[in-house]
Amino acid sequence: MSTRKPVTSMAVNSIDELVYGKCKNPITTKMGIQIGGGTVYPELNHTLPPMIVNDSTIQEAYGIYKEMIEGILKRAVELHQDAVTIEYETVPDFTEHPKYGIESTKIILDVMKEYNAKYGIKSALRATPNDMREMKRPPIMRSGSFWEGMLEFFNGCGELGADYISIESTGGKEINDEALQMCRIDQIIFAMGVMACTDMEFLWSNMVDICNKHGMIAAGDSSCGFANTAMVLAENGYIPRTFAAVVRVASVPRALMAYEMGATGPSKDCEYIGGYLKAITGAPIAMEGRMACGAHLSPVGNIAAVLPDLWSNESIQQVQLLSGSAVTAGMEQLIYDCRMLNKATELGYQKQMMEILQESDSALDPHAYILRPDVIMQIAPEIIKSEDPLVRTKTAAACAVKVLKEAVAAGKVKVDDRDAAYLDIMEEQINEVPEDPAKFWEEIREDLDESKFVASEYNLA
Amino acid sequence: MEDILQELEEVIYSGDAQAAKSATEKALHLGYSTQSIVDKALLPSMKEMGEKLRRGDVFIPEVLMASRAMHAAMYALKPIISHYTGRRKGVIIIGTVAGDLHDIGKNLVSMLLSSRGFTVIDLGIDVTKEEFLESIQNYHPDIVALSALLTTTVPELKNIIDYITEAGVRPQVSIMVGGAPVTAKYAKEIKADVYTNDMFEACEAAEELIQRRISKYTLK
Ligand code: B12
Repeated sequence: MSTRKPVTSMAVNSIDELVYGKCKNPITTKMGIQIGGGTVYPELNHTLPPMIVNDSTIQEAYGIYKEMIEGILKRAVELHQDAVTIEYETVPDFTEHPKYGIESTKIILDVMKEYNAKYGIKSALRATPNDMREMKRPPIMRSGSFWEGMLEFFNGCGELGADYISIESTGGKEINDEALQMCRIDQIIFAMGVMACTDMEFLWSNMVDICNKHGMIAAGDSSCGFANTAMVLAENGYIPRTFAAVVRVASVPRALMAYEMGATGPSKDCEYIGGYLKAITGAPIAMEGRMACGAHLSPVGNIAAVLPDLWSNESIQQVQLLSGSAVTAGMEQLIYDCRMLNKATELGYQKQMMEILQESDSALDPHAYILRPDVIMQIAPEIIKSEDPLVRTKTAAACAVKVLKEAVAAGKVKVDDRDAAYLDIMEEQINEVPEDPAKFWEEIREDLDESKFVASEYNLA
Repeated sequence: MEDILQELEEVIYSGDAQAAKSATEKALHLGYSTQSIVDKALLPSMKEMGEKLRRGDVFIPEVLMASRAMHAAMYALKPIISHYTGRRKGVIIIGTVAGDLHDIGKNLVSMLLSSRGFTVIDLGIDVTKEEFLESIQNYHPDIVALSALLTTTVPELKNIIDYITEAGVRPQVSIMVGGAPVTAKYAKEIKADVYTNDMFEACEAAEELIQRRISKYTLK
């Protein structure tokens, strides 16, 4: 059984080593694509158009998946791309009924192999099943039919030969949603630093074991339900941008837990703090930015491209555009972006390219600011000074507040007064957070709706 | 004399539930009717809070705090007339459809509707068509509001509408649908009454639907 090996030192110690396309510990996929070895590859994620999924429509759904993957690979071949990566992120029906998920994984893998045989194009598949545990409220995290179904699907993906596996796990999300809407950073620190990290240890111990059994790579867990929800709410003007940015940095220790349990990346695209993971662990990362605007809007379109090893579109459904399917168009966009990034490296302009990407966004939004490599190199070492997930999460949030306050004062990032006021509010709340999880739990529980989660599933008495 | 209503509005804006409750009690003590407290202070202040959010002058937590303060004030009025505003304004059942767990948008719609004085019964997430029907039969709502965020759960909107139509209760309710992948065209196809893109329009639409329902039933 996999156990946690806390990270205590940085894999990357100099900002000069932090670049796109290259990481300290590259991985190699089954068809031989080296991720993090110098080249940025596209990662295309695709999903179904509006349709019901059940036994009578499943053949149609399989057909759509086949059509999508063929369209994607065909275009990649036409554009002379020698390697691409694909993500199959299921919609819940495909994890709930593992036979659907497994069959569609097989369809996708078969087409990938066929294209490799016919045209020589290499491809790799990330399988991202859903965290079904939250379909029951309050969620049961460590047993029950949802958990069993997830295990069946993870194993199925491994047996079929998926290259790596990811998830957007939801432990702690029970209290995070409301904390986000009330802008309570203390509760968010509890949700991520105590609940989520506890669950990640359990979940990733299982996932890493399954990966080891099947020769699949454990590729990490996205804090989507925490930090992306925050980012989307801030983008709508519903919560402060500063708040979303601090939540983002506070998600680093949660994501790090998967690596401490044995994941080796590439991290998932919507884990926007990938740069922190790359600096701390040396693992390759996937990122999404401007090419993900078909999925949701964001303030980090360019800066997100400053450090990726895989460059993704998040996800797009099959709809017809004037040029063809949106999925095929997505592949083309990613390929052109990757060509540009890689050509810049080849011509010796990588640092300039990174500067352009970073400087075009980072002064305009706090979320973009905290993705700057220099900010990463400032905050990441502070986070790993402790091995305790709660202390790390508190530190991450506190550092983010401090960095943003300094940047605002120095006029380095645009933050309006209403947003800036929340930096002070957060600072006060963070200072009050105890560093002992048991004490924190005692203090915070009266503020939490305990009907929403099962405390014992998180080892909370 | 109107000062106390002004004060009540102010404490609602600042989200002070305790002060809102005291100000309401004070207003009652001074002889204000429940109706004037609701109509002149509570509803206008929450309407203004919604507008402030729409204009980008406040964030959600401030609206939620104000909403809590308003509910504290309503609580102080409750012994005097129960369900006063709810019945008058209308009852709305809301839920995220089966298979879908996305609820932030739905919760925001729900919050804004209840702060506008509607009685909102939130059925939560992953709500089946059977549960929607049962709730219609139990609560006799004026409006049923459905939210779906996944392309694979959008068709559930149609299933629900068909199901309650078959059960014969469709004429009793107006139906609003929403969520990122839902479109006005689709809403029309499945015979929903209203689709809106955001929570502000959802509130306006709800007010309008209720008006229409009132005229439908009273002017005949
Ligand atoms: C945040 C988010 C999540 C959070 C949800 C947290 C929560 N408690 O709701 C989490 C991380 C948990 C999540 C999970 C998943 N998600 Co998600 N999620 C999103 C995201 C980024 C934003 C949604 C959101 O909250 N927006 C903010 C709110 C305020 O906006 P809104 O919901 O649109 O609501 C507004 C209006 O639509 C309207 N409205 C809403 N409801 C109603 C109802 C009525 C009656 C009316 C009138 C109006 C109305 O008013 C609201 C306020 O103005 C979307 C992207 C997107 N484009 O929507 C993806 C997205 C919907 N998710 C997606 C996916 C794939 C998933 C998962 C399957 C991921 C996974 N790997 O497991 C799971 C599915 C879980 C499930 N069974 O439902 C995909 C869907 C793809 C598809 N095929 O449809 C999207 C589009 C992202 C993407 N492109 O990849 N997700």
